[in-house]
Amino acid sequence: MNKNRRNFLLGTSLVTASASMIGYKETLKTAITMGSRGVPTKDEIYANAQETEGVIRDTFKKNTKFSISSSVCNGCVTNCGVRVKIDQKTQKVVKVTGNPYSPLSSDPWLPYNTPLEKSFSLLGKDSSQSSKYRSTVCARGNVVFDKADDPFRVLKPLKRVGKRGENRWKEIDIEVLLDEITKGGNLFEEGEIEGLSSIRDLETPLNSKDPSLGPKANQLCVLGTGDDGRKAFMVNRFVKSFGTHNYQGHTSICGLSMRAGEAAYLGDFKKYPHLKPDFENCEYLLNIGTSPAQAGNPFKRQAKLLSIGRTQKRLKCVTVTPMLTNSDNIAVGDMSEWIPVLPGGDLAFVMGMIQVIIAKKLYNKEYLSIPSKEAQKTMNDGSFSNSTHLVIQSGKSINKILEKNKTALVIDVKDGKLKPSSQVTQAKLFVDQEVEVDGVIHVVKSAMTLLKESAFEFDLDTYAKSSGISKAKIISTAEEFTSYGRKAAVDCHGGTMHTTGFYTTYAVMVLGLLVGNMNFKGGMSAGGGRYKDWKGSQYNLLEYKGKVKTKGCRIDKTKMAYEKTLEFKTKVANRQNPYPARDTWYPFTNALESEIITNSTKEYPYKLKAMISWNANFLYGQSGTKHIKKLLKEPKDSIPLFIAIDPFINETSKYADYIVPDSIIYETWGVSGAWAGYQTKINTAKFPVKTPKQAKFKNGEPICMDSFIIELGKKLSLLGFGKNSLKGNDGKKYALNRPQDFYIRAFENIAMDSKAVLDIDDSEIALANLEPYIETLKKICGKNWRKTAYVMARGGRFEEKEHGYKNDKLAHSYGKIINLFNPVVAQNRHSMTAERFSGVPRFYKARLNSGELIEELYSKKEYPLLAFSYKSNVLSSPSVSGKKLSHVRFTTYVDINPKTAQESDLKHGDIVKLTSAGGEVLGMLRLRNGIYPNTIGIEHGLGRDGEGAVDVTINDEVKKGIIRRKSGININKLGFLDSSRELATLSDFVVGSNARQALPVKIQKLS
Amino acid sequence: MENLITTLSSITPDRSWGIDVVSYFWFNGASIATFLIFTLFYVFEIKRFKPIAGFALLFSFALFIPAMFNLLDDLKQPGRMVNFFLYGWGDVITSPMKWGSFLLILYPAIIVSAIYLLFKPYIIKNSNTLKRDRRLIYYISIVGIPIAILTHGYTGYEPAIVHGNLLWHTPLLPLLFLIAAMVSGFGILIFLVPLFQRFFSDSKKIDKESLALASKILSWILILNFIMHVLWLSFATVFNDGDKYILIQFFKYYISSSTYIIYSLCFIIPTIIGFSRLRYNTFFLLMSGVLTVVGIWLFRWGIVIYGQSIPRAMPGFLKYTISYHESISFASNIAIFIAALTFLMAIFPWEKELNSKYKGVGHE
Repeated sequence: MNKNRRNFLLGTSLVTASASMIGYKETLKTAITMGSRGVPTKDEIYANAQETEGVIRDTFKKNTKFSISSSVCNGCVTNCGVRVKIDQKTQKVVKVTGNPYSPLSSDPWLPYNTPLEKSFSLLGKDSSQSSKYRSTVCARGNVVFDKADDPFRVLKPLKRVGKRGENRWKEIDIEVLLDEITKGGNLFEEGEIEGLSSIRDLETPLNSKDPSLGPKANQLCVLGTGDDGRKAFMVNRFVKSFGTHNYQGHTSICGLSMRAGEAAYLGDFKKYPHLKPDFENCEYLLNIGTSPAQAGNPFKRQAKLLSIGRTQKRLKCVTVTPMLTNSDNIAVGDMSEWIPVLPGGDLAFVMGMIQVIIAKKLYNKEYLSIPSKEAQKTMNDGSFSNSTHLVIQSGKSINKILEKNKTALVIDVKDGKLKPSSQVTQAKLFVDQEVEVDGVIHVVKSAMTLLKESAFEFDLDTYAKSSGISKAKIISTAEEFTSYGRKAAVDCHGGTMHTTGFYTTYAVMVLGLLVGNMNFKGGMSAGGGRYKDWKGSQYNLLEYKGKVKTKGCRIDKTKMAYEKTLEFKTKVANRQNPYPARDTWYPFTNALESEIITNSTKEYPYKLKAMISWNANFLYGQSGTKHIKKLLKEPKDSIPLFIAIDPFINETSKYADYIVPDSIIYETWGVSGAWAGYQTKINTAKFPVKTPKQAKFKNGEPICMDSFIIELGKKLSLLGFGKNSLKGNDGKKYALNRPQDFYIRAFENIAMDSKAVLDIDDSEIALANLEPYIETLKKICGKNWRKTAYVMARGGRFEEKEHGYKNDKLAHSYGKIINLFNPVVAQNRHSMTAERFSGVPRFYKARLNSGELIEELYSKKEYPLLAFSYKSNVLSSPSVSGKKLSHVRFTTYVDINPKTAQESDLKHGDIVKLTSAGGEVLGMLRLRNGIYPNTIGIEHGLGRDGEGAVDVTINDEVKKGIIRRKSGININKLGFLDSSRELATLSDFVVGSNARQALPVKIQKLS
Repeated sequence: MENLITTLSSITPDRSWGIDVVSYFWFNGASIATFLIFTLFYVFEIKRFKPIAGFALLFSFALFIPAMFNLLDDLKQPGRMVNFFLYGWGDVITSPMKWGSFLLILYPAIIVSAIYLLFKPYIIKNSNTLKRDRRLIYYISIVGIPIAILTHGYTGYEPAIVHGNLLWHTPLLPLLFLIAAMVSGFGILIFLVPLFQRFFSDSKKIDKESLALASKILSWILILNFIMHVLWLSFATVFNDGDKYILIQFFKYYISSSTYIIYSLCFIIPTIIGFSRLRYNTFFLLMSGVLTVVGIWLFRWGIVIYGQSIPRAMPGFLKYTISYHESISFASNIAIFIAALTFLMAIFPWEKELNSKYKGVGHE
């Protein structure tokens, strides 16, 4: 080669090699020096992979660097039993898996007496049973524990600085806090505030003019949330000791419509039982306003059982929702179906189905004709209903069930005679006639006749139009539903939270009644129950000397008919029309968190003086709270003293005067039951498996709800705390000074219930990391300590799977009468309109409390779309502080049908504004085909304004908010007031559940 | 409202494989292909390949070097590359990456040995071992053929074994990779050999016969490539069960029509050239070479980058944006290839080896 050319090649090589080396500089440098890039990992090969918690050869040998404890996940309200792996050195949770003993995390679950060592080695890769008993956690459960280290976690008691809601705080000693809240005083330089000691007055009426409202003590309201296993402690030990009638949970902003509808169906407005399908054996499942495998309770269990059922082609699962979610799955072909429905249209759909079932006689006549318990036994059926009971149609006893000697009277099909139901095996189903009882003529209709009249009040075309589901589909679904005998089941939940949600749920349940599925395998179940925990063979933890039988009127106007109030009686006495009442009363609703602040502000029924909220967050969870924020800002107007027990400063506790830190997941005590949907007894036990990070009381106990309540109780000299306040069934008395005094005794009750559990041995104590509890267990439980530890080691007590059924029925059955007609509902009137409530399910259009129709007030022209929320399979309101969860679900969107988007000239990715009568939100548009046209779907769980989303000042130091937590949309900002009421959010017109679905909105493109 | 949104419909997670892997597959494939072209004469004694065999061997090594740089750069922790060879041998049967770790030692050793033996007579002037060396080349090349095939075949296994990727998970993928490799090997040869013969050889003459033959063989391989594509995609999008729907969406909506056009032209034009008289025209030869190089690079890009765009847990296809670091890596990689090629072509007496081929054989 020519020398010049060779030099050219060499020169080129040199230049390009140099350029390349510059480009590869970092890579080569790291390679040559064998250095590391970025943050070095723990191990060069296994990166940051964790060490295993043990090794399985023939047996399981635990890695002593970790503890593996049984506990309960609180990522949602299912309260799954889990296993927690904790690094002993750092006391950090590193991994969570399912508890193989728990039915909520595994199916089948391990036999309870399986040795603990086996519960690990059985799950090893070489075990033939590892797939069978593999126990899991969901996306949330896998990661949500990282909120323990969230920088916004409250670890010391806080007192507000400046005005309420400014989110400025200073740390305060817990003893000083207790002192201030009990004694009161000019705590904020805003005037005198009455302390809890003064409020706790059980004798003086809070209103001398109306003693029926109850004593002053009622002016404390305690607001909780879902039961994480500690509600019994809060309610029975504190609320009932303080003596206030006011304890509310979160039900009115969660699923009250479902709970109330089912309570009406089950005829029990005291205990508010609820039902779930027997997922394992069901052959046709109709989900309305709920999306299993997307959400629901029990979340994992139902998802797993429905997957199995569908893939085995044993179960057809139909989901009726405005949004296509994970509930439908093309992987299972025609074993799954989605029926799109208009938001709020489910009541029309179900009433249409009921009409078809009655018209075509597709109902189980023989079952419906069973009028009594005796008849049920004779017919060997699973339950009985009042379908054949006779409802008085006029006179003073209108809407009462015709009875004699407290026994319902029915018409015997054999001879057509009127008889006590206990003497009749099959009663006449459709009755509309006069009957005579003891010389009195009554016009009566059977409950079934009333249902028929109600169902036929509108034609199928009306139902089709209102539901957005075709007539043909209504008919075919009714026919299909009734073709599975007793193995057709129904389920419903949050999708029914609209203005007619109560009747929606009631109607959904009645579908089940029409096929007679109660207590049948594959039908409906009230759950398998629980072992005796609070009141057991060893202790009655809920009773003590001085426990108050609270009385009076609740602040939320529930559990009391308007007709019993002084307002009503006064108007009647003055010959005035007693209707409308100043505002709505709810005679058979159990609790309404959504009305506390507004009622107190209106001083109707009365004004509260103090509120203790416990992990509550109605300002985020309630639809339409703009007005409440304004009210809360003014202590004198709303509630003068507001104490929040919360591990975070959320949207609601931001407005508190004091914040007391609570423990969080894996740091708390408790005993949870389970949502129905399981057929055997479940008690899931939890106890601190890692050291809580909060500040402590003088006695060394970390500050949490339980310890705070104990110290507060002592400070207030409440009976039920301190020395001799726990009752043993042996007559002995024990002290309640720490949470463990209460909960460990509950565990002991569980251990000793019916046939006592086995004794734990030392090897299992070591495996379960119970050594720190041995001394406490011995001290508290005496000779039963090993049995109690046995329960703790397994995370609770779980009945064996084979005890769930007896032949074709459930072993744990619901024994009370099923109410096709609910007389309590029927005998009450709406306090504003005087309208009688229908005692059977009935179709109503979406309405205000006054009866004015939503579609007329908020016309389609102005608000062409209907917004609804859907539950996230990943997010939940307590999970925003979980950092890892954001990797799975970063934000939420405005979901819209592409057709609707096109009509509004909108494109995927547009930034839009949604406006309702009550508020507006901004969001990014996401087109998806699986959503009903002309609706807007929003996944709930983000769009936060608290819990680290906004800046917080503590001790004059500003903690900058994490902007990502603001991302997404909170649909509740679109909620609006019921304009027919005074300062009240839109709600179900019967039971007051917060209406957060089917909100009329309009959409506008911003960019 | 303040939003931090990174994509419209999905959050694109960190991509496991980026442009480094695309380039690695390309360079690796071209390297083994050019080695195999070398064996066409030195093992199979196809005389028409005699003039370009030496080129092919040098090219194979020059292509191998940037391939290794891609691998090194793709490692998030290049300082630990030695662990690649020290650990994981327990999985050697089921891990294509472990196969890679010894193939990538064996293969370059073979090339280097062959280069030494081939050019030794021209460097050590009085070598008496010509016949022995020639025999050794023959034996090394015989061993080298399966090694070379495996060195690229294993790269096809790597994506193919990923069950969750509907585009990748086919037993045809290793075969597709090998055929693509041969296309790129012939393509790069057809592009570069004329340039070196024209501008850097003493005779300045381009061996059109050999290159024309190479072009024709390339055309046949392109036909085979087409058939393989049809087999692969017909099963994937027509006869596959549920999986086909997302792949149909992928091919219909995600890949732009211009991509299809460019991709097709990159194969159709060289095929036409190879089967026509145009293969004797230097300009069209060069065009054919460039198009096949680009076409196969697009194929690698489609597999690696587009393949990872198919979502598994989110709605909507994921989006890839090349990062600044990746751009620098790509440019550096091209530069190192040019550096290696020009260096090898500068120091090895390929023109002497070339000239020895033309004794008694005419060329333009």
